[in-house]
Amino acid sequence: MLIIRSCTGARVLAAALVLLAAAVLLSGAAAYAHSKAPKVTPADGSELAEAPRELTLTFEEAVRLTSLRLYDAEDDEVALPSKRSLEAVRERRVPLPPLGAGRYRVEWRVLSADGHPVSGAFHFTIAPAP
Amino acid sequence: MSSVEAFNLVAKLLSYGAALAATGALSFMVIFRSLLVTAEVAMVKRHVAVLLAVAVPASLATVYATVALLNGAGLAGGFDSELWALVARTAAGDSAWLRLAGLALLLAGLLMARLRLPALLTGGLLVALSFGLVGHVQDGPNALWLHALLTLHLAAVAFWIGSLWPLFRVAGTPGAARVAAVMRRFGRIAAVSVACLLLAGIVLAALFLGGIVPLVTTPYGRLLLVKLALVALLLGFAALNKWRLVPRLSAGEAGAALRLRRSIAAEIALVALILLATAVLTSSFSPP
Repeated sequence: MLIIRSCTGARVLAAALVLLAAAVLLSGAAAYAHSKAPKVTPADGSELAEAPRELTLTFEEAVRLTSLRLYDAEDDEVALPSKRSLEAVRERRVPLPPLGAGRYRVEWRVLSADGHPVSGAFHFTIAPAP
Repeated sequence: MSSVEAFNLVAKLLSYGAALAATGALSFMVIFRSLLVTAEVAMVKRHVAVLLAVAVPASLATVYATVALLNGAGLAGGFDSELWALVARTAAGDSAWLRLAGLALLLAGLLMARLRLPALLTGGLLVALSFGLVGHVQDGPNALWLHALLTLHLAAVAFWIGSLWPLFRVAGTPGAARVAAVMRRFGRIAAVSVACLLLAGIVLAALFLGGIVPLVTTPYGRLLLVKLALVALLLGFAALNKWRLVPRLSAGEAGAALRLRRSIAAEIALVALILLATAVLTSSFSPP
């Protein structure tokens, strides 16, 4: 009570705002979305001698895949035969078109079982042996 | 933070805050009507109308934001009929529709005095229930209990935050004895509702976190700790009002009403911060 009385309301609120901002910044909000990250193949960060024929995403629970996008090293989107599959399942296999050498980034977005939108990304590199 | 994530956060903040405050302000009007003068009743009605006018579009905006987040095509990605159809038939849609139904009942209660109490009870219950349809409350075998606890927590939150602006306005009117009577009655009810709020909040937090340690070791726990610190500050102001400022107002001390108004204004600002912390907590974080 004494502490509150000795501070002005504005100071207390400013301190509260700083505390909130610090917690949000220190915690890295984006990295801790609602579902656990899926197991993916090709694995995140992997280097492959051959172009993969499909992507596999395995979630801990059944989710609805609302968006799947593939980008090449120039950040141009690579067309996929299916970007979306809305039935709730744990594992998804998405066939890939023929891919050349280079680094690729996959961005996925799902509706989780508890009703939250969840998103994530991973990358892989195709580096054929010389 | 992307533009869609920022839009989602603002929509959630407005939807949470305005829907709960509308419920609370209407219950304030029902509970305190005998102590309020005509102009104050009209002021609270206008306040509820404004809150409903914010809560309805904000609740729809949360669905739009969910669709845009699922689409991954920027803010314009919210206009996707296939994803609207998906969200509409899943928990995120149910939550928004239930909240909108609750808000419609509150509007009916605001406009029709004879319906006010039943409309407030059912509308307020639907609004409070709507928040628990999405999120970790639904995980696991205790979903029913968690949902009931969250609804109790939110009903208590609604009464508190919905009463603050009417109390702020009432504290600025002449007639210290009547103002003090309003404040004393609020203090008695708030003591019970704060006990419910804290009890339900602490049990929910303990069940989500599974112990004390994750409160400091996980990002979710740390932000929850910040929220708790803000709530502790809010309780400090509430205690200051109840045990210092309102007794001084009752005793007719000069300047007591002004200090009380300042203290309530600080509470309103803290509530906004707590709602922001909650919107961040439920958007970007997950319990361990």
